[in-house]
Amino acid sequence: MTDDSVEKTARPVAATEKQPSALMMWLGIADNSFTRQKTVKFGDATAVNSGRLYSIITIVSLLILWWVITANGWVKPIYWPSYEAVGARWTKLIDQGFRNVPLFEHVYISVYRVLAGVFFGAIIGIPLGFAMGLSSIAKGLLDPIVEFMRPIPPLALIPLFILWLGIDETAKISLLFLAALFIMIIAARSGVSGVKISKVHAAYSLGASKFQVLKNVILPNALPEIFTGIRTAMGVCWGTVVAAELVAAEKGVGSMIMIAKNFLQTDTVVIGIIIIGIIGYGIEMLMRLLERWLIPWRGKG
Amino acid sequence: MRFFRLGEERPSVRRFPTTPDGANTDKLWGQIANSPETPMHNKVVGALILASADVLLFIPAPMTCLSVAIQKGENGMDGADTNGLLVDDISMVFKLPGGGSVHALKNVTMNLASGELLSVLGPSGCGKTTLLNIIAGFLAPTEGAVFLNNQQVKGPAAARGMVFQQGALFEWLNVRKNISFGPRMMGKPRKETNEKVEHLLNIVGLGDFGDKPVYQLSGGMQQRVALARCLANDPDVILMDEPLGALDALTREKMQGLVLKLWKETGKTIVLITHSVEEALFLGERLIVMAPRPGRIHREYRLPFAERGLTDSPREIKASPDFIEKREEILSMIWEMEEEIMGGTAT
Repeated sequence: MTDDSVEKTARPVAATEKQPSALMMWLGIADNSFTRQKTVKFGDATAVNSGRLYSIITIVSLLILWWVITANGWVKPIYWPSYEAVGARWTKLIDQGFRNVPLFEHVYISVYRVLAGVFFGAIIGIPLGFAMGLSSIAKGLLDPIVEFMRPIPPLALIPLFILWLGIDETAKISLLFLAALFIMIIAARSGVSGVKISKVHAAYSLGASKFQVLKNVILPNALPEIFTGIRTAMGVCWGTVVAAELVAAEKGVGSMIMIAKNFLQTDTVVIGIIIIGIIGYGIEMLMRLLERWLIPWRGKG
Repeated sequence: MRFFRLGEERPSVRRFPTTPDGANTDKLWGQIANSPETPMHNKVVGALILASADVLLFIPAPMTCLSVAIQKGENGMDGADTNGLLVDDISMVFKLPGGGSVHALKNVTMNLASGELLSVLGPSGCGKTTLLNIIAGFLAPTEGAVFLNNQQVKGPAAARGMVFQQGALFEWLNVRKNISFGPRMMGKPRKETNEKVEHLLNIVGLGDFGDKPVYQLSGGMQQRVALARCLANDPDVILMDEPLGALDALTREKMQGLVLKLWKETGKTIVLITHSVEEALFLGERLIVMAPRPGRIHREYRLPFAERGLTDSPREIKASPDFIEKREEILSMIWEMEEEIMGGTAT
């Protein structure tokens, strides 16, 4: 009996210690029981905790910094607004909108442009990418265009699109379509060329026709890549739409920021920036969630 | 020429009569006749058909279409050489892009009666996998041709099923959908397919795993799915390319037993590529040892172990003196080949 207890306390590892509380785990500052018994932690990525507590500290200190510098008048309101100014502007924007357009509509129009651009980019880009991965004719025809367009940032095309299509909706959605198109072509192409030949062989020797192989093997096999493509396209298009609206637009978050700047409404600019950040983050999270739900086999072939 | 009666106990030890789509005719009739749902007039008509079939089947087998169905389960027993796999004097030369060429296979000929289990063994680079790919129809040989049931092989087809080493399952489908892939592609009736899949799930011991995604299964279980997926299509020949190569030793031994059991129960012709001497000896009713550069048949054996493996325990067989003797003989043969190659490159 006594021998047992002596042996237990003599062990160097913390196996007998209490489990860390759920709160500590959520805050990401306590090692789980497995990590605690690892002796090599530096260089082991799985031993790095989320450190959520420190994220909270970062956010809170930034907010405090904001409050301190504006409340004490260390920064002029024209460079950075106070909480009160932002709060007042926010109520006003919600009540009256910006330039007679409701705030919601500004946000909605930007999101709508992104979704339309990505949608058409995917609808056209995925079949083209598939064709490039499956036929040497399509590959030969499209390769120069794709490789040439790939390094060009969509923003560099804005002047051309304004010249060709003016500043209406068509011009913006076309620009976003083009930005999404090449991302989707490249994603679909690499999804097709990434299919394991043994899977294709297996399908053929199970009696599948060419079309069935395409539909039942190549397409599902390319889905993870296609989804990554959609995610990237969403991100790029969100950045592009704001920039495009900065140049020329009546509505949209980007135009709201630009016009507010002309009237020195720094508070509106800050609100616009925060909205852009939150929506961009939201899109990314939503896509990850969708991905986990739609493609659970990702990376497990 | 052989004559059969429907319902007669066949002399075969390891096959039961099957229709072309794999159902046991006698069992099937039993189910229909005993079902309360079958209308009486159908039972009468069925009984009449069976009675006339009994009469017809006294006529030499190939003359009636019904007998074809039964013969399919039965052939190979007699070693009928019209039905089977013929690899006719195959050579394979790969032209390299930078000039020069690799002689992967040279004048390989073999004749496999249906129902035989052949294992192919050889040091790496002897063209085993190339040979299998040619039989499967993924590659066209430079010279010669492959015939299955007197039909030349020109591309992949459902008659020649393939079991790959690993990672050839469709990870976006669950176990059941993987197994039913072939029948679904061929447009087989859904009900029949579902019954077949359930049956196969039980045979390979995955009865409770039908709805699991395949990526959640262990390596051994995945290979069980691969075997079942191949069998669901009811191919004439099953080609196995190192199907157990990626498994650990214990799982591998268990799976060898499963391969034997499936061979016994289905009576399929099987060509098994392996680099394990023990596996080749234990599973192969016939064994071909290939030599490299150019890939060719070095020696052929006819072995008793597979037949014994149907009844005796695998450990017992693998520990028996004649098994060990054969194993050592083949091992030293392969060892010599390897040394020849090494010596050749050294000088």
